[in-house]
Amino acid sequence: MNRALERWAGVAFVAPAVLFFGVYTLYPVLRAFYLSFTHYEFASSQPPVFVGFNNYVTALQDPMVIGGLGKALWFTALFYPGAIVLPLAVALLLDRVQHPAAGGVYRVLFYIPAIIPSPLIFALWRWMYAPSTGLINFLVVDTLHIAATRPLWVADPHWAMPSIAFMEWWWGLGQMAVFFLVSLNNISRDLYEAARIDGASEWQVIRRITLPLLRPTILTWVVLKITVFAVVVEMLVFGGTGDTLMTWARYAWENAFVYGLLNVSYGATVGWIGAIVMCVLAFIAHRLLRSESYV
Amino acid sequence: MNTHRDSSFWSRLTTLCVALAFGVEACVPTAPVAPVAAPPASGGAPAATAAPVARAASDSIQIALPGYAFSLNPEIVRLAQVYSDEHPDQPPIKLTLSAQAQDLIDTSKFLLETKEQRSSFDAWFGITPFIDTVKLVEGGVLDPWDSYLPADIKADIFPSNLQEGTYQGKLYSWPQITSVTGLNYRPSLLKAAGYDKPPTTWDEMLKVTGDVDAKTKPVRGVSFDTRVWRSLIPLSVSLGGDSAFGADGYLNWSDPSVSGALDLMAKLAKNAPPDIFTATGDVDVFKTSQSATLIKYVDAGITAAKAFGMNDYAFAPLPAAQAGGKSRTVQWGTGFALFKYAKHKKEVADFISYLVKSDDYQNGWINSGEPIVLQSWYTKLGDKTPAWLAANSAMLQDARFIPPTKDFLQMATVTKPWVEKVLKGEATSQEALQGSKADFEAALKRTS
Repeated sequence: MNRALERWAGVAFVAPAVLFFGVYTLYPVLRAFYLSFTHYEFASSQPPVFVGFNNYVTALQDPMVIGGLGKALWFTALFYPGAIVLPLAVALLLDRVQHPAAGGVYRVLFYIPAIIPSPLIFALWRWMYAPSTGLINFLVVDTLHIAATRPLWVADPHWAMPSIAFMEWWWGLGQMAVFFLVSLNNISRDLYEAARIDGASEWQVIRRITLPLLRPTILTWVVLKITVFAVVVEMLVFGGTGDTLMTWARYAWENAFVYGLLNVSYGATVGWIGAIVMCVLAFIAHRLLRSESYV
Repeated sequence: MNTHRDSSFWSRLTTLCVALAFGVEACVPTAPVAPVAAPPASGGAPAATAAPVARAASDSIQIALPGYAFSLNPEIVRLAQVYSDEHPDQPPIKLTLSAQAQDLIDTSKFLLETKEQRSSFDAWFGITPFIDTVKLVEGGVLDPWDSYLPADIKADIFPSNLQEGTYQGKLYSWPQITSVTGLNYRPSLLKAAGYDKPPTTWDEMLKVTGDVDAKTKPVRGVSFDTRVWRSLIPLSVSLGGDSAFGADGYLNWSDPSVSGALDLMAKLAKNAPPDIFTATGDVDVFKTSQSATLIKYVDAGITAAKAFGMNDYAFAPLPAAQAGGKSRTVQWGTGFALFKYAKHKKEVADFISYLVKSDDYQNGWINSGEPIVLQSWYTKLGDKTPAWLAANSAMLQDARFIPPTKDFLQMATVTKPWVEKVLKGEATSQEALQGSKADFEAALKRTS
């Protein structure tokens, strides 16, 4: 194959992905950016009217936007330990299971929640958290007598976010653990053996060998999982009392797709503000976890 | 060249791009989900295309229906097939199941198509007038039914159902079924507390639910939905009739009936389980025999009754403000909407007329616990009218409707937290209504 043909073949292979990215990601992003400088209601016959930074000025003074960013930040902070640290710990344990059959059974058990469709997950956990009829209060109040009164869980302003974060931990645990297991399998066993021969404890092996070598994987997942900052569906499904679960992304969605004549320009503005904050968070995470030399 | 710096730069740039793309994408209008073919009906007939295959799909009368319409009334599918067979001169009926048709998401598809001056469908079953009408009319999506709805059918529909489907003097929703807020209850649980009949006034209601709470533990006296249009509005109408709504169509924040309804809800909440603050908790506790009564529309009660048996289920009109007074409540219907860019307007109206006049169609709704909107049917059924349907009929004669307004959902969203504060004893009804009004006005100011 001559060089020119090879080059065009490469372009042809890449083109579908580029086209898909352009149409379904880049264009909406740029369109939202444009709309954020206009006043435009999707259900109105009026075309977009340029309003400069008006939407941004309004949004930055909107208590629902500021509060929504805080709520999303709180949810993200609750989410990460269970979405990264817990699966990593489970993966480290599973990696040490010597019996092949037992290892397989554990992996399947942990992975089961990941294959349950989201509507079933939400229906299941809504029932689990139901104050009078749910399984959790049956265990906590009626069986173990840990609490005297029945916690409201998702309907309690203090417990709503932790309750949903806990569901997310359970849901993603097996899947994330499998990803970490794959990365663990890529670490040479010779390194572990050498460390143990040198007298390293198990904790030292994890801290000095496993975690540094897993750092690129951890960094990747920390950055990818930052999308939880834009959580919408869970907040809509569980509803919550008051505006407990009105994160910035849900507020943007409600403005763009529910309220009035569908003010997509304000929704896009809130979306862009949230996205910029998310970029900053991703950047901070990247700075904290980046390695000088990946192995 | 410093390769480390270089790779670090690209790595950061990639990180930023990924985060930006995910973040903004979450808030950008996206293409609505395309409708999918309907599942086969219980009888095994193919539901997606009710007409013979030989007919061209491009020339068919296209109707979009939400999934629940198929499951509640499978007769629609059969009747579409029969109608197509009986009218070979007309394009065949094609019913399309849309899983999201009951959501607002699907109306985005209608709006988008209208901007492109086209419509995939001729009609849509699923319009909820107080939520959808203004948006779809302002967006140029709908055509009124006035020229197509036969006079005899129109005259037979309860006035309240017609009024709620009317906007700016034109009828945009051809009502089919209706939800009327009333009192679902368990006769056995009321009897255990010493009552043979359901309460007929709110004072009685407080006494009965209080007695149930005290005498039949752990069963609670009452359960209700805390959403604005499912309790505050019906109770306000029950206490004050039309004065519950202002001239603008929104809640009349300063009306005594609205603050009275909030106070009443706070008193009822003392006899209610905490589940009323969760999404479906009000129905769940009724279903699991943990609440003797449920203030909600009848289909919620009948659905719940499947868990404990219809022989211990009953439905009564909403209690009245005073002894001997009229029981007033709110209804909202679900109907057919006609698209402006429909290709077969008259034909689809003919088919809906055929449906409406079909006994099987109307019985299909009744058998699923869905009250129908034709007055003649209640006479026609006579002694065979199920008790729950008779209670609905009694209320429908004088039911109020929620006026179609542009920002009803926003009003409901900002009011709900205040309602919950009153129910938890954290605010008075007056504080809540003033707070709701201020929050609603501020929200409108921000986005208008």
